[in-house]
Amino acid sequence: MDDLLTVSGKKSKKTAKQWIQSYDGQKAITSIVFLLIPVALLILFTFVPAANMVVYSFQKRSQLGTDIEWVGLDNYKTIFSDSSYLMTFKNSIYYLIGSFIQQALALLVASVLCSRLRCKNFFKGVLFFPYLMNGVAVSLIFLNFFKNGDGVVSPQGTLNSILSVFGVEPYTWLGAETANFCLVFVSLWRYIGFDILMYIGAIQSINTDVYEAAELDGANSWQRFRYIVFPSIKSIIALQCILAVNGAISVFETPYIITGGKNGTTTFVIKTIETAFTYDKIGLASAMAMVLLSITIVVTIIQKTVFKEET
Amino acid sequence: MNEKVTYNNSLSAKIWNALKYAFLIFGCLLVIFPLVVVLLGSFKTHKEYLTTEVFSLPAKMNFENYKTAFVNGKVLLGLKNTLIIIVFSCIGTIVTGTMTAFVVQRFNSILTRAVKNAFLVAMLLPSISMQVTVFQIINKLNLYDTMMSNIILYVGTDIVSIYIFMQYLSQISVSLDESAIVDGASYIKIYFQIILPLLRPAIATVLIIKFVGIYNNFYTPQLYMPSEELGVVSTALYRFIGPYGAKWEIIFAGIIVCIIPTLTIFLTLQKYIYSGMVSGAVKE
Amino acid sequence: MKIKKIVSMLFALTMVTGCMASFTSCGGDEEKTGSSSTASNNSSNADESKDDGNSEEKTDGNDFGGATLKVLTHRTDRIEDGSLKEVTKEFEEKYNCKVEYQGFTDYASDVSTMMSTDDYGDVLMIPDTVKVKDLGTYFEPLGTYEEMDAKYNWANQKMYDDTVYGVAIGGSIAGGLCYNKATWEEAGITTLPKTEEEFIECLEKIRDNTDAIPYYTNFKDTWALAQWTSLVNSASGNSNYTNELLAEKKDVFAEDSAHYKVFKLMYDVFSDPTLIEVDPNTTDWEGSKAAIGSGTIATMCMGSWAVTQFQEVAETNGDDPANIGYMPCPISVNGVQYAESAPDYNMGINIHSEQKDLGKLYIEWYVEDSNIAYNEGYVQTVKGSEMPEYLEAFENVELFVSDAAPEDLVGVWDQIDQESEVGFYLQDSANFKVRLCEAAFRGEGDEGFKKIADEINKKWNATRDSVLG
Repeated sequence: MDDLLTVSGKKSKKTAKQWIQSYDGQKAITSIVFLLIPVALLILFTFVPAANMVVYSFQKRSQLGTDIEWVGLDNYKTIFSDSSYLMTFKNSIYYLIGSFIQQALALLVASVLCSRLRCKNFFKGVLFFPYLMNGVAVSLIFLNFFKNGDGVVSPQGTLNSILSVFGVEPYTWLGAETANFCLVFVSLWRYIGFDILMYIGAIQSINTDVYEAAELDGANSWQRFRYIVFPSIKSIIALQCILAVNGAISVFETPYIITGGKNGTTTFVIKTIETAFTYDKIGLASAMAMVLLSITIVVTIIQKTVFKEET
Repeated sequence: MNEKVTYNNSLSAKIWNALKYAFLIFGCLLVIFPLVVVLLGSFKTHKEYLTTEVFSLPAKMNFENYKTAFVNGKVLLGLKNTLIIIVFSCIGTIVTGTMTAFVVQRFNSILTRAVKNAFLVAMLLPSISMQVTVFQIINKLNLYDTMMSNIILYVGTDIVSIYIFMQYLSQISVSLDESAIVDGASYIKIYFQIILPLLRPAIATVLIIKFVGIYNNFYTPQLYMPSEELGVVSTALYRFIGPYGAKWEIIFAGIIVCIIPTLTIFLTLQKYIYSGMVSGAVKE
Repeated sequence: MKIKKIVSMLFALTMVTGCMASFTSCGGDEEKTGSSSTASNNSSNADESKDDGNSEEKTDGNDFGGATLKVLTHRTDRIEDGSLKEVTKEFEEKYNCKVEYQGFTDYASDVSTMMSTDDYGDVLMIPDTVKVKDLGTYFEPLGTYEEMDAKYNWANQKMYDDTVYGVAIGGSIAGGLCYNKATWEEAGITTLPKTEEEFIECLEKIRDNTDAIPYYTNFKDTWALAQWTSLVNSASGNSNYTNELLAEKKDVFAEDSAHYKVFKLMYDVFSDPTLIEVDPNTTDWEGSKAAIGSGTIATMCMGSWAVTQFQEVAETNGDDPANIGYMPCPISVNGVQYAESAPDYNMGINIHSEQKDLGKLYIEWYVEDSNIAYNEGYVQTVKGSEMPEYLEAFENVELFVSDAAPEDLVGVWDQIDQESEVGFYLQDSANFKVRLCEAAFRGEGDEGFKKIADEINKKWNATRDSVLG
């Protein structure tokens, strides 16, 4: 195709003015003019910071950039030896497990929504809506939802109020034992709608003939799911699970607002921000960002190599 | 698959059906309950809020909390600022995104291939952790605590949109361009008269993704726009916890105000939002 | 018994003076020259500016041609209720300028972030994250120590190399606890506690004899935990305490250290779930202000700056503001209680500011004429000013001002504090204060405390040794 284009513009050498008017010239000029701003922005806000990050991660430095000291791998050592940094990895595991549960539930809901049903769109809409909601609003709603009001300073939270109807004693949900579970629940509540949407898309792309044939053969819902639906969307499920790793390590908003990272709920990103802006340790924070970056890249490589043919 | 299971079709199907509905209704209640509490609470007076049950109806529709949230809580200002940022970011993204996609997708030269690869590599970088060093750059450009900081980041680091444009463009036949060339049209003309109009559905998708993304973003405005006058919806709401910490009914009003635009757009553009969100995920 | 009598008399006395405080604070305004009365009396502006004509040199430098001065402040509540703006009118008129306030709920962290740019207002509260030796990088010098010390209290607080960069907006008794007098009395307590054991006994009495929450932790707001840090110097009874810790290379959490005592007390209180609120994870600072006024919260550890805030909220809610009491740190050294007095935030001028002269005038006006500090119950910055009423409970307590660090140790404490990530006043989620609370809530007992204390010692000492060499 492209050759065709160039042929039409290609004649012999001409004056500058003619070259500009030729398609070759136009092409070169359009490329430069059109790409100038986007590429400049890309370099300025993605590649320069990324390069800085690599360099800073081997330094001890403050935000101001005075007193720079090269420390080799010390920053990385700190991240993988200091318990307060290691703990954030442990917390990612809660979110990771949570997102596996989320995948399973989403798949279940999606397959139910793909069966014969009234009010399909209503259910789908309600379940999807939280995904569109403002994260701060969601966090505040659940701060109020999980609180254990003392009736003195603050009234009872929503969850305890509901449970009291069934005679359950009020419980401190955001205490150390359950805080992480609550936060994972919020994350599930917020993001499951998106997975449902993805799975509905995947299921609907299955050839309906096969499906209906199986139904006529008397296969029950589970069998249809097990032998027809599941094999065809297997790779999407695997893909979603792999991507959950990325999601689990970059959790920020909800714990930041609901618990402030207390009761062992600090996440990797909150810790990075605190290191950079509370303790002014830009080197260490850059190293943390590098760790996150490496995890993302590994995940993407796995995704690209393993799932390329299938998706 | 060969085995045939026979079962009492009508009865078990009925039970199965009922279970399906029960399951979905339970799920929807889980979504709706927390929201209903917020809605009811937002109409209560402080005393009422402290003394009544969470699910009890307010004695009367009382809009005082909304007034407080709007005026003192600066939600109105937040909405205005958010709107400004969204408009400029969207314009910026559409201009730069479609231009990049056009050049990269239609011209095959070393330059465009290099640019395409650069964008693909950039997609890998998790923006949230990059802020440690992006911060310094924003700072050096004297953009800290200005709306421009957010706008430029939303435009400059939005690679997903470019990707969507490229994807979409790759499905548009080149023959249209070619016939235009035969007619002697310049590339600029092709871009404005053929490519841009054809990209309309992709632009709609990008607009939806961007609206939701920017409207809900907390991290970027929190980090780069600490000034109260530059509060957007997210940060204005977040700052509620300070002065209104004791008055949840006002926080509730703020939450509702913040959800209404999203809900309106969702209800009117439901179909586009579903497809937009799915295509926004192609990156991952 | 005798002590009891004295204290009960003291109670009565503070009640009376407390009641009077509300009257005198109105009267106080009038006494203090005409400055604040003109502020509230806008109609007389015109005459006032004419009257001002007699001080010629003032009018010369007085007109700033409507320049705008941007002031960063942590007092969002004062911006919210408009009172700060109201008071400032006087200054704006006097110098023909506009003062624009920008408030931050999370002042220290937001402003520290801003300070990595040039754009951080004209006048601002100097955040404690700025190391003493960096003061000159960020702030305009205001004078030599000698000059400033002659006029102002705490002149050594934001000083480096004999140059002063900040003036305190007011000061307070650094360490103490706010309590509701009525509730404490209702519980049958007649003597304020002087030791840790007595303090816990008092809280137990409140638990047993009243419906109030004996102690409210405010755990969700980490800054509230940092209030305990401000008890440390008082508990040491030693004006040179931190300097000695550094010079003699002692453990900060050695078993008899003031740090140990204070945080062990906090830990012990927090370890008993019956002494604190049900759910510390969702505490509510604004709500707690109202509750201590109504007596449903009995005690909170807060700087004395909180007293006025509590009293105001009590007033608006129809509770008796005189019920808000302030007691010294319940830790004694050889039977004597001490209390450190210390400045609040220091105001400094952005070195990049274009309104430095106006900034200086603003600071001068703020501490000398505005009366803001006095009205809010601060110890005033200007030496020899009147003391606030509510400090009566400190009558038998030894007051002292902490010594400045010796030359070789200037800024060292802060540096170790930050680099080691111990952060005595800092508010990150992995901070030892937060972890102590978490351990207390989990009921880990003395061992849990010991473990964290040892860890802090280790971190601190390692950093100290590398910093001091």
